[in-house]
Amino acid sequence: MIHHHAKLLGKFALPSSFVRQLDLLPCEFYEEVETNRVRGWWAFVLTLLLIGFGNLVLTDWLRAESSRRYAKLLKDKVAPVLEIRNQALQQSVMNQKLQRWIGHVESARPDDSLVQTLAAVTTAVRTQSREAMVDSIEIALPTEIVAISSAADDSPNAHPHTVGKLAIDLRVSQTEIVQQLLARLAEQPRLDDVSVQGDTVAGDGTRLKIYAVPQATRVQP
Amino acid sequence: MMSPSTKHPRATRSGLRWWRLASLRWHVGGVVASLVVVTAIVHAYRFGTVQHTMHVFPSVSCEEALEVLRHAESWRDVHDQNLVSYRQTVQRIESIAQWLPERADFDGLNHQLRELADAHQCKLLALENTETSVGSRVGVMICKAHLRGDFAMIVRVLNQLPKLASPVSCDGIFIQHGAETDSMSTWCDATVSLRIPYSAPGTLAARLVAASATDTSNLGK
Repeated sequence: MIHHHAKLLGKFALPSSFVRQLDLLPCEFYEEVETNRVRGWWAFVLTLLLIGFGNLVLTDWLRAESSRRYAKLLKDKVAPVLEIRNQALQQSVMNQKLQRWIGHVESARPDDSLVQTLAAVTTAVRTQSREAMVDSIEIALPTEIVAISSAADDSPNAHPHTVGKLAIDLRVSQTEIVQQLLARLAEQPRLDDVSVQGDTVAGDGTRLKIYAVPQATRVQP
Repeated sequence: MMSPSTKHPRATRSGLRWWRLASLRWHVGGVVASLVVVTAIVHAYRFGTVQHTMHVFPSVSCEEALEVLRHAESWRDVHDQNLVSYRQTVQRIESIAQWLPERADFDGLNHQLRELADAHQCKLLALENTETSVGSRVGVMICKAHLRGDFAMIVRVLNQLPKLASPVSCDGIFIQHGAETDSMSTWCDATVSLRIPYSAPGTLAARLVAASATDTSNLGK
């Protein structure tokens, strides 16, 4: 116990419990010693904490610095590639848009749909030219309906259009061939919904009116 | 450290002394706690900013940048392909501009049709301009033409219409045998509805030409 005291109190250690009774030092002295000891410990702990803290701050700063340097390096490397990428993306979008528009405008280019339809009619009729006499042919192909909003529309996917019309006026000498004629007309890929109307006997033959719906590859603008 | 065995027996805790030691203890606790808190905050802040959201550009994170760098070659290829396809697009637009006139030219059409009819031994009896309509794709000048001639020749004229310098589409026809001729003749009267597309302002065609004109300056290099 005394040894312990001696170690802790240093030169103020008391030799024995007997001498302790002769102690004249005031209470404040011992309090001071105690406080100093606590402060010593505390200083030690504080130093450790400060070292740890400084270490942490320094490490963090170095890490931030190195990653900043890395980011800068990456930025220098990636900037031209990014520019190329953005340009490519932008351009492909624009290309697609332009090609869509081109497709729409190309679909308005005049073609020979009417001549084809006429040819379909004549080839169907011609084989029986002796029995059937065509007086008149009327064809109206589907045309685009101009909507007020469609002109401002960015991408008109389907052009609203009228339904085509085809009417053939003909005279036949024998009514039997009408069915053949109708079948022949219905065979034509450009003609739909073939129907016949109005049997009126006039003079030498039977007058017929054949109706159909012509199909066009493109909607006329 | 503060065990009673290490303390001097006379170091009793009385009033003022007790307060001094107590305040010291509070001081210790406070400083340790604040250090811990500050350390934690600094650490969290560092981790939050440096590690997780490190950005090369404000909109591009490090991972994205690395990804882009990894595919730099393919982005370059995409860019080159886009340039090539853009040039093709521009060529297609130029070819559209070649056949699509900018204005509806009635006199030119009249002249061309008369030449065409004369070349095929047909007569252009009348040509009238009924209206112009502006669709979503192109604007069209709608005309009505009266033709008289041999059926085959009329069909040939119709066939030639889309191949004119400014192509003419034909969306409707009413063709009948000439009234004054006998039934064996192939002379016909044809009323043809013609549509002559032109790039009216506001249509896709006009916008297409404008788009190619503006884009060639900054992208077509």
